[in-house]
Amino acid sequence: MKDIVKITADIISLDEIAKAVADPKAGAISTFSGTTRDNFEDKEVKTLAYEAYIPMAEKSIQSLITAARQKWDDLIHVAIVHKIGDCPVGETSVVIAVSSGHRVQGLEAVHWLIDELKVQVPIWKKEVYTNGGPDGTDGGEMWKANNTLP
Amino acid sequence: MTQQFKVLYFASAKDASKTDGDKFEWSDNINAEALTKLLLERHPDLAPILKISMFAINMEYMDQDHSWTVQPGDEVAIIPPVSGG
Repeated sequence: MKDIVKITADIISLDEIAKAVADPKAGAISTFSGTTRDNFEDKEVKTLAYEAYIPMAEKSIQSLITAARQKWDDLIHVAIVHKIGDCPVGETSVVIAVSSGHRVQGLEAVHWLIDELKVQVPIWKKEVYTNGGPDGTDGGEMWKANNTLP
Repeated sequence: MTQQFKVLYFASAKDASKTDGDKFEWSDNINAEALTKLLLERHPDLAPILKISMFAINMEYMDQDHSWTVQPGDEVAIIPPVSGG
């Protein structure tokens, strides 16, 4: 049983991460892929950037995986990869992939893991806007906050 | 040599303090209240951010009940509301 935890500035490939959790005993590989949106309210997002407290984020993700394994005993391999640095609109910011004997527990675990990640893991997203200012040139930027409850 | 502890700033806390980390002289009984005071003396712009942030010490979130104190050599982090995912 592998736990794969990675915070990376590289482009994230859903395909590669899904393959990394493949296993002959698995009847399902469940995945979640988060991508960056191009808008916030009426503002157009030019670029996004992620920052992390890397060692704590890794530790915190590892704790989530350990907790998930206690809740769902059918999980085989679990991978969670989060991007940091610039993340252009439409690019993948996070991937969660879980292999399991049967689909139900894998799907539930993926849903739980992304909800918990968004609440607990010390990672921050900054949005830089194109059209926030009245002159349309400098939209400013803003650190985002997730809802505290999943 | 005096004992110290380290403070790390992330996201909006980094923008407000204009640094990603600095060192403070350690003394007895630095609880949440005393830590907040020390941080604001050095970085007044942190005031609105500290109101909505958590403290982590050595990569563990600290309880809100303030029953902890900073120890020499600790790594304290200011954790503004997170937005991963």
